[in-house]
Amino acid sequence: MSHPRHSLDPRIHAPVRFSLMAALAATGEADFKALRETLEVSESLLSQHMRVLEEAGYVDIRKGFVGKRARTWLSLTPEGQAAFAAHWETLSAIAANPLAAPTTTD
Amino acid sequence: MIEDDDPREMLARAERAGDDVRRRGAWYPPMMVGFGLVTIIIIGALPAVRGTWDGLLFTLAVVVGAGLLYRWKSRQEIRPASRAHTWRWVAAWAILYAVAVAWVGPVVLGDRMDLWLLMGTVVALPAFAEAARAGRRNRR
Repeated sequence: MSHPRHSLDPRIHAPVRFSLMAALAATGEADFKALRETLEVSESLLSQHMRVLEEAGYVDIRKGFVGKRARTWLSLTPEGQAAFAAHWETLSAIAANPLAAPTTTD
Repeated sequence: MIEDDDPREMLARAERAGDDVRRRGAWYPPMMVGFGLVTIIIIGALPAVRGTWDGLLFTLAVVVGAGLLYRWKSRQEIRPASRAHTWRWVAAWAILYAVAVAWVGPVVLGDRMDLWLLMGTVVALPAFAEAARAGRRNRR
């Protein structure tokens, strides 16, 4: 029987990216600044993780203006929602098994 | 020492992130309920203000209020509704509003304010449904 860690999505399985997707799964769309505050990471780190998820097709990035201030909005795509839900289930299954092997994606 | 990629720690951090975002989006359901109630009031008041100077002031107040609300909403950093969700309920509300105000009200209801209020409740349903959807999501 294959260990559940083989089902982990390497594009999501970085702590910051997983938390980012959890934050986006909890809302329709969120501003970059709000996400940085929630995740307590630097702008450059968040941008880096954002790009990975966008390239995977999991996150939509939209730029706009509020008044004169540029804003960046992120939201999960349907594929991103499905991928996050599956990853959450897999992690929960691993966490529920105290004898689980390490979760590095190999 | 718990590693960064420990599944329990990752799930706990993700849960906290989701909770924080849900808390910051808690403004949305009450706003949608308020929008629905204002819809009911506006439609209920229409028989009394149509074709009068009071009607012009009433319309002006509604437009200014809508503008202020839009300005405040656009400054919120967490938006519980995606653009697709927003367009869906706005389209439903707009169609109901147009049919109610342009046809059902003047042709069928006359000056019966009680019936206009009832019609206003029907028009407000998309807004209340959106409030319920967002409220359920916030409670998860």
